Amino acid sequence: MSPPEELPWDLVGEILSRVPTKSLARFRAVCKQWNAIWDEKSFLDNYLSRTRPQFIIRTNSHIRSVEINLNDEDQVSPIEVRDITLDSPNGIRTSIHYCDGFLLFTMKKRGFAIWNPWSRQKRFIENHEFIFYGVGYDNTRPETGYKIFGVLPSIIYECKSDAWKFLSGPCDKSRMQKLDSMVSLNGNLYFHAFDSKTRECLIQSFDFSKDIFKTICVLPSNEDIISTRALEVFRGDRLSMLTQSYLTRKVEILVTKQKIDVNGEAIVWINFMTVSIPNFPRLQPHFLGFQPTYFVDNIDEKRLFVCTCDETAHACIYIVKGDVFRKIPIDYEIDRWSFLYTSFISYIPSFVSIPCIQREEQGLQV
Amino acid sequence: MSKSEKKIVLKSLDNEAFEVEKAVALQSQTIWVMCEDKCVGNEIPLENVTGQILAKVIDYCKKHAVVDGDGDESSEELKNWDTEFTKNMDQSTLFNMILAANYLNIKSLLNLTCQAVADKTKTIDEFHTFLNIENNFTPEEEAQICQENLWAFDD
Repeated sequence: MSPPEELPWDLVGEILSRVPTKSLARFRAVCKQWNAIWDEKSFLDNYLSRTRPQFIIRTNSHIRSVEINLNDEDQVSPIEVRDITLDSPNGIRTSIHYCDGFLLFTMKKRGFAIWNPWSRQKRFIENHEFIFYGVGYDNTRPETGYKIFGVLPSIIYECKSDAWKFLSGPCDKSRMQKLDSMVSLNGNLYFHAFDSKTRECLIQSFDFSKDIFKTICVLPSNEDIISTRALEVFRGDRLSMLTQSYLTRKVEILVTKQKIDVNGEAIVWINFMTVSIPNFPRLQPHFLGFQPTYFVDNIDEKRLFVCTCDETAHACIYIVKGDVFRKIPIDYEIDRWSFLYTSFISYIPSFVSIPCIQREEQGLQV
Repeated sequence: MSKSEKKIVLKSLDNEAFEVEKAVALQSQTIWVMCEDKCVGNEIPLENVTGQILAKVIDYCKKHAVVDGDGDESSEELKNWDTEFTKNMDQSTLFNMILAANYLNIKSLLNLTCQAVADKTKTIDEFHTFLNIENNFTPEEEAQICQENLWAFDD
């Protein structure tokens, strides 16, 4: 056989988007083009839509990444835990948000860090006035310019120009926005909200192309008392929602039928899976407890992976397949009083350069 | 093409002819478009695929044309068949299968073959060989990337 010719670049991307994350880290050293592939949005989107998320668990002192590996049935523990704790002033209540492979670590009234634990890049922005809740970008522009969304009052920070922009426009006080439920999808932010006038639960978005809030859909009213409602991204371009009934503990996962586009058609939810197992635990075992995080996949069979804490406030992962669930305890205690801040998120590791990394080189470090 | 014609002939780059059921060949979007657009008749020339590779592609399409649409058991069987199909392919064959799947526009086969390469290729050197590419980093640049990703080299 003659030596192979060159494979077209898009096919190289097809292969790389299927390689496990750890190998991808190594393969950055294959050649310059392979290292730079992370700056290509089409590759990144393809990769994010295929790759199984990991969990981040934040305790008072540490941030850890938990990878689930179910390919090898004989393994004693199917999880691999990595300490990715960010050097930051201790004891500050924080929340963590995720977009395109990097993390936003926000410190109340101190500022925020943009951070990619996998490439070890970070940048700290000091700010004592606002609380920051999410990262996104204007998806109508060809170049991805990341922006950070903050509130009280609403403000946008543009990473590239290092500029702050106040948002005008009336604030609708009847809409209670659950900003800690924020997820970033295709540049825009999505979160739960509650309309106190109509008593309806909504999903709202913040559209970074126009810097405005929008109501994406009204959630169907439910006769059950819902004890948990969580929002996640599904396969890179759709939304997924988990609800658990307080009384029956039944869990329902819905996913949107089509990919999400803020200007597009009305959202149609379809049932992805229902978990109705006797003695299934409460995913939020404490009153006003931590918001759990989860993801679902459908490789051989539909499976649900939830990262939350148990009755004893220790972190754990539940894996549900059909009528069977398995609990994987993780021996970290979560501070019961930190429930207002993120303790668990799902994210997909990547090697995207964090915005404005060159500024870190000028000496702005965490 | 009239509905009565159930078979078509695919002709490879090296002039090897394969007569196949239409349902088998039409899994390729490229062939489907050729059949729709041009009145190519019963013989379709495929200028980018050798006979050796085309034979394998047809094997794949035959298997998937027969089983698709059946129950769960057969989907399990199909998965095992897919695994066996790529298991013993050498790198050069896999490489050409990816090119062929891309040219013929058979999404599931492209998925299968790309996944097989992603699973089989573990080291940087293997990728250099497989894709015939050179390491164009300076030693300093390479050292820096390896430093950033030290954790990934620990096993």
